[in-house]
Amino acid sequence: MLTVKSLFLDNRDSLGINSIVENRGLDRKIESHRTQKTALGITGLYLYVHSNRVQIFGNSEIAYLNQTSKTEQFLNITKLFQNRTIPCIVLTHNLSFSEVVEELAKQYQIPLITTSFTTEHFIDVITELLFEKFAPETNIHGTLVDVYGIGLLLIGKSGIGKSEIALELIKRGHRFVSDDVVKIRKIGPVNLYGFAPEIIKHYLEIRGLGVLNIKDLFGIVSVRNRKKIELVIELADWDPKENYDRIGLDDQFYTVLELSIPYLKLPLRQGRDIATIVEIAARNQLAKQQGVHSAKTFHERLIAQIEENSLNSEF
Amino acid sequence: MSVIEKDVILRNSRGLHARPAALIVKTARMFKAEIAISKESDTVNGKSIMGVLMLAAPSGTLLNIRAEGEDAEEAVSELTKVIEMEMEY
Repeated sequence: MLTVKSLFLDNRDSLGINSIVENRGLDRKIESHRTQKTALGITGLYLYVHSNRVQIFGNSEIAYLNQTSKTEQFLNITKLFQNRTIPCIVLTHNLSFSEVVEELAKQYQIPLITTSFTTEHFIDVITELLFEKFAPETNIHGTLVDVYGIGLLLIGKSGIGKSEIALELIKRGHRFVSDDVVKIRKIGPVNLYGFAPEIIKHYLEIRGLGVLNIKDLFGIVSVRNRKKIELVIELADWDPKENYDRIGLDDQFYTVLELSIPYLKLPLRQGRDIATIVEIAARNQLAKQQGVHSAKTFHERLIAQIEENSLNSEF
Repeated sequence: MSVIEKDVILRNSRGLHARPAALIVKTARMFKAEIAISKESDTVNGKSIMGVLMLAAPSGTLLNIRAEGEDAEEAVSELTKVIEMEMEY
């Protein structure tokens, strides 16, 4: 549960908070990831003011209040506070609230907060923060490593060797995010970010060695706090009956929190250097993201050759 | 394929620290069934030590065990014993 207190006090600097003018009601809940510029809501037209959204006052609200009489302000703001459950009001540009607003906020216990940011800047920052706070989240059994800047999620059943492959990748200079449990958050409409649950952050388990602190063993550059997930690789026991992708023409996807991420299934067999294959998969993904698709280019070349052959055979 | 689910209260007085967590994982790995352990909305793989450690469950926590597979019933019954047990350490 997100309260006004936790949002604004934990992010004082990033939200440019100047002062908490009214601190009654700091335990009010924020239940929406959206904010609202109160605008006409202070003129008595409270109908379109959404309860549960952080309200923002800027130059226009203050200019309006300054040119209305105290009685009118009192009536309009009272209407707003009586009819809508507002978590708090944030005033931008380091402006000051009018006496009437301060009086009524005290009475209705609505926190008043000022920021030194401009309205646009403040809305940008708070929206990003709220998006993250309200982001859908899930846990996945897997190991997340950043390989050449590609966030690579290794999945597969317990004991298949996810951690061992991650360790080999870390040894080769790639960066570790989380082992065995990855918390995944959907931030914005298209991005999935993975990070480690706080308690196991930086730790990786290798059977026979136990729990290892990667940051202590490999240094600060070997870890990162979170990474966008761009490729899912499933490690599986080699099954001679299964048809593994031999060409790579058809891109496959894995669904997490309703988003599709490119997916590969890698069969394990003695003699296959999986860490190297995983590195190459990351390179291949980088190439695909830049529009270069090895399998497709190969296929086009083959088709062209076949056409040429058939033309030649006509003569 | 049978699916067995059960709520169990963690009894170990020092909570689910490293040793009891290791015992749970060791027990879970004896079975073929897929095993999930949940604390409130956090669900982890019962065969993963990091997962079970992540729960950081104190004594008295209600844990949900869910097993899926041929030996699910036996797995849940063995895990229940471990979770309800007071351990020496």
